[in-house]
Amino acid sequence: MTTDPGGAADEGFDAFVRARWTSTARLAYALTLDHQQAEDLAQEAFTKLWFRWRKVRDEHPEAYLRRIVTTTFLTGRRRRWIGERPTAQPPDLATGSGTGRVDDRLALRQAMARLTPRQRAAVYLRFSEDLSEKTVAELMGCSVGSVKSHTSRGLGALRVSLDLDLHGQLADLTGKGIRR
Amino acid sequence: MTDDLKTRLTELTDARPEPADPAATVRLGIQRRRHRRRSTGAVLVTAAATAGVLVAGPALGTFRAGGTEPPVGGNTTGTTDTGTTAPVTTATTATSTAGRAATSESGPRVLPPPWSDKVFTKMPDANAYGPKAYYIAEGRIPAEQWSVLVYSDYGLSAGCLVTDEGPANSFGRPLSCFDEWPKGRRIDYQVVQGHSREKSAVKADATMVLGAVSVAARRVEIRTKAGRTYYADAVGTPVSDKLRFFAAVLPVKDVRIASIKPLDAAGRLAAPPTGLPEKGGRCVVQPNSCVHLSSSTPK
Repeated sequence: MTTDPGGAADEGFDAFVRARWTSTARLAYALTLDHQQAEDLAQEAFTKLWFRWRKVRDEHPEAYLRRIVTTTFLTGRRRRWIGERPTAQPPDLATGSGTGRVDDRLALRQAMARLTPRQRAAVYLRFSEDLSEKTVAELMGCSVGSVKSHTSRGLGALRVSLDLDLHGQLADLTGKGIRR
Repeated sequence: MTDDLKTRLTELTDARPEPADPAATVRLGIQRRRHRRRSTGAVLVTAAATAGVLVAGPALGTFRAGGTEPPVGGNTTGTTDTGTTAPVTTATTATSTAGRAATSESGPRVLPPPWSDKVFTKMPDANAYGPKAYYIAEGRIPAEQWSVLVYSDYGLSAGCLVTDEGPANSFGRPLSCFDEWPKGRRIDYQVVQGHSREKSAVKADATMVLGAVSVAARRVEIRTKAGRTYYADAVGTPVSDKLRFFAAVLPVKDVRIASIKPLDAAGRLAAPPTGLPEKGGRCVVQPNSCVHLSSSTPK
């Protein structure tokens, strides 16, 4: 008879959380564009993962975790209105940055905030996580065609918002079946 | 400014505050969720148990009423000539305490069930039925709710039956006093045709049969000339320790009665009442007065 003491599973899960927290929080922030919401989303995703941990730990827990983050974000956006939250400092400071890189980051954040949640998720998962359209479609629970549409429209909106040279990337996308 | 979108997205998500030990934070969330699940489970179990009790209570009561104890009040059962039994009326028991074959020291004699001591309190009609009127049977026809009450007319009669009806007044609020019991008479009754509303309207498929039998009876068997047989409980009340009363609404119109027999607890023909005046003041009037008439119903 073999047993699987809960302590071993707990230790394995804790190690997984520490190893994957940064990337998960990064994805959560790209989706929510808010540090507090991103941390809450990441924590909720790991919590949900724990209740399925024994089943998924030997398979692909990273993929399962990414799916939890995405679906939790998208369904949460549908369920409740996420209004303006008070912060200690205005989050979008257009001036006062010491470097041009900070300006770029704020500009991109504002541009991403103008996208719909699904466009934002599609753009980030495709270009930052380098996931295939099929994988993104599975994560978002929609068709590949919808992913193409969200990605194309998201990139179009970013191009308008930013002084960003996306022509090369859009050309690549055209080759993958996305029309400009 | 970099032209690489991936690089820019990476830079966008770089600057974030990190918890010292994310695993500890997640552990806290797991504990909270476990607690919430347990609380929700407890609430659901409690709700399910409560619902079970609410559902099972009346069901158990039904089994009990249909088992060892006979039904009380205006419950009737129709039987065809082939003996098939089916409920035929909406009449229900008015109310009943457990009947006991004993004599109360302070109150009236309590008869074995069926028994009803539910007092009619609807004003101002209750003032007309003195000192108290008790429910014999209640039910519903498509037009309205009906009830049959019995009262003793302040001791001047052995017992009078009267209906309480709604605005449709489908049975016309008949009043019958049963205090004429020639030797050997086992039953006295009245048949009232129901109407959809008032008596000028079309007849409804509802015919009320109400009457009195001796205390030895437990139910009455009503046979129609159409070949149907119905049963109604003979209900004891504080009004009389010599008579029981019955009332039922048959779901047909223009009923012609073939016979009505009082049956005792063993199902045999019940004995006639004793100790009642042979010539009394039976009356059938409306709405609440009492005009003496000669008996016109078959015996």
